[in-house]
Amino acid sequence: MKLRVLIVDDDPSVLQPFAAAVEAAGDMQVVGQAATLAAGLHLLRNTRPDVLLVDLGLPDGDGTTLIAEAARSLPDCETMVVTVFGDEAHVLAAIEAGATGYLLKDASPAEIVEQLRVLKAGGSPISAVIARQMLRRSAAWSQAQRSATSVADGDATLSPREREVLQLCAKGYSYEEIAPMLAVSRHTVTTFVKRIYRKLQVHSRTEAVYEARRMGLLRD
Amino acid sequence: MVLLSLVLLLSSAIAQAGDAYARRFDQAEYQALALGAARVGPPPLPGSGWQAVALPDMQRPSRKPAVQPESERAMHWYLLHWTMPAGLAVDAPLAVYVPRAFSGPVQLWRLDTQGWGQVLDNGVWSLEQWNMPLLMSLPARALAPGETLTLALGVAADRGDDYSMSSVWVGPEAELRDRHALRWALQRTVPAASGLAMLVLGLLSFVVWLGRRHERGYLYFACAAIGWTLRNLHLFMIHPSGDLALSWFCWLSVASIWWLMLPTYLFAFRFDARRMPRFERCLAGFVGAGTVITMPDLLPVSRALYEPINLVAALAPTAVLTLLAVRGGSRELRLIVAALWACLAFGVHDALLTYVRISPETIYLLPYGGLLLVGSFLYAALRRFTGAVLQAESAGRVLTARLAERERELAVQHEQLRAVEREQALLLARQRLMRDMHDGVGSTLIAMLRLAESGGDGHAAMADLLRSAIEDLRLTIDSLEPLEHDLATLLATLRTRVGHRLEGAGLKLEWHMADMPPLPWLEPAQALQVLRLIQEAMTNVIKHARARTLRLSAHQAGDALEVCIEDDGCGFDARVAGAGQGLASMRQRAQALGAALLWNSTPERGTRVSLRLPLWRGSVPRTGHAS
Repeated sequence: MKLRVLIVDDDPSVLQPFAAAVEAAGDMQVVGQAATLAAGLHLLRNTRPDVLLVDLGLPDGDGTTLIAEAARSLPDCETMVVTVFGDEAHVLAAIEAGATGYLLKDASPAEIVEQLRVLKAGGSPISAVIARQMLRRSAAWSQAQRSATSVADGDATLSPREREVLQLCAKGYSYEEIAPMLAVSRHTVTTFVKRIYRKLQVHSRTEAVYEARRMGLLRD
Repeated sequence: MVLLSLVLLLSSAIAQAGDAYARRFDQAEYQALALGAARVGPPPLPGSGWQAVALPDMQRPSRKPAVQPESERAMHWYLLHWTMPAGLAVDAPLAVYVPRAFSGPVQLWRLDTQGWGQVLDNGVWSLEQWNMPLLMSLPARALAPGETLTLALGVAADRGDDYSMSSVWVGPEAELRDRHALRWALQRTVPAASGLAMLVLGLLSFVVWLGRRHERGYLYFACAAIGWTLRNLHLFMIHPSGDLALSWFCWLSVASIWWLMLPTYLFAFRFDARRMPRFERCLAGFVGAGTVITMPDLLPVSRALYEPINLVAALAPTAVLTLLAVRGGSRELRLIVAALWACLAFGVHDALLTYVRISPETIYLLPYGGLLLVGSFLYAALRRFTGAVLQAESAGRVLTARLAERERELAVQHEQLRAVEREQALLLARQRLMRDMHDGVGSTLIAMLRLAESGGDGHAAMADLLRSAIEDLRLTIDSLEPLEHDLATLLATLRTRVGHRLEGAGLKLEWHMADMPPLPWLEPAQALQVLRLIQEAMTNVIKHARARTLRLSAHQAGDALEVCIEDDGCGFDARVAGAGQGLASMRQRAQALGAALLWNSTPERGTRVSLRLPLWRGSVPRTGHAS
């Protein structure tokens, strides 16, 4: 069973090498290419890909819309953001929308294929800056939960283990290095990271709901 | 004031309602009789020696008809004939009411078939009688309508003394009781009650003064209240009986009014901005002297001095205060002066009453004058207080307005400052960007341009240059990331960026990041310097070291954070030209950071470069070179 990949990017100089790299790998295939958000949404529903590669700045809208749609309708679909710099401002928003990693636009074909395989095997590495930002946010969550104003569910705060993983990520350690430090397998580390991602998404959603309620856009 | 008008209203109401059967005598028959050794004796029988007289009857020694025989003490008799009116119950209790009679004790006799019979001798109250309305019940006796009752009222007086008899009421006791009660209230109860209230206020004032010694007004009020109480002592106690005690009591009653007047005037002076300390001292001296020289048995003429002293002590300050009030005095002072003049008039009235110059049927007015004066003081104080409050309020408003204005100014200044800061930040960012472009992407682009222009087969070189340009841009972006001054996270971004190059060069990376405190000064500009410096060191390893392993570590070393880049390569000689250039650039960056750069290289045993970043800028570790 080949890995089915949908690529949505309005820049042909990104679209073509990415598609070529995926097609060149034997164990994956491109099921769709789109240059607009509308086309991307259409293809997402029709092709039901295993992996979605998406640019955030699409001509007719924000790529996070597509990421959120994928996270909602295709829970098994992994999403990666295609970005020039992989900077925190872009990637964190994408992760909050439901993405699980990012690919740099200048990645070599080998890197693209490698990253996709890593992603399917257990998630792409979390950048140190993002890990640090997540730690900061989780401190805010637990504070909100202590003051009982949060609408988040009970186990949405980070466990000590998850926190440890994030702290090591923020120091720049790779999953391979973290696993022996915590005396767990690499797979366990990726499980932790996936859970952390989910919690961040939950929080970004509940925070949005909370904010909406606070602003009177939603009723209780 | 309100009380006074209420009382007056009530009295007129009673005067209108009360005279169904009672009769007021404004005529009587008069006869004076010398009193011998016997203090008490019946009046002469009707018919002989009586002459008509109008009531009230005021007699001064000069106008006194000769009493025969010449005697030290005489009894002045007034004969009244009262006819039982039709319609009154025959056995209704009857009474005689005398509003005021001077100066000796009053006697009441009734003529029966057996002759005169004494009804009352007021000798017990002789000393208090001067200000005590008399109501005398007649012993029960049935009278037929039209039957006449003959009564004689006597008032004793020493030779040379004034005496007086007010008009007399005879009639049913029930009617006369109301009249008597009203007059009792006006003459005694109201002055006594208001005097007590004043005393309480005075004590309160005294306590306040104890806490606020500099505000003399409170003390003056307290003294005035005490003087007032002493003056009204006769309302609360009977006169002492001994001659000496009595003369001291009289002296106290007279002198106390001066002690009352002095603080009252001093208090009034406090309501004008102009101070008259000399006049105040004179007044105090005068009152003090008057008090001393009028003491009983000190001077033979002491009693004759009472009224002159009274007059001077009251008139002089009142006149001065009037002058002050007329010439630019405040409204409060004018009101007080008006009240003082009213009191003066009341005082004159009361003196005339005492010296039997006016009808004994009026009442002493000075107690009410006191109320008037206290009322004016209260009004003045209240106006002052209200004025002060208003002033404070307006001052508060002015302050608030000023504060608001200042806040607006501050806000404007703050905005200006922020604008300047923004401009400054923009300028700095632009300068930084220019420098970065110049150092990094700019020079790379020029190199690429030269390569493209040469037209040779330089695609691979161009790709390399492009990659390095992108990498440099990424370093710039990374330096701008929210690192929260964390060195490990900053180094981690470098790992992400150059990790693949290390792998490509077959180098194994060992990564060791200890727990470190944040570097407070690590802002984007410094972060970029650190990134470029470490990147340069790593590039050196990749290009020149021929190493298998690169170890990047960071930990706290005293008051600095130390970053070490170690390799197991060939090592290098710092004096070799190529390496020297790279090191010079690294050293420059370290200097810009205020950091120390140390390198230690042994040929064939690798190189160790360490960068010591001080935790606090200013505490710069020594730059050194070891080989």
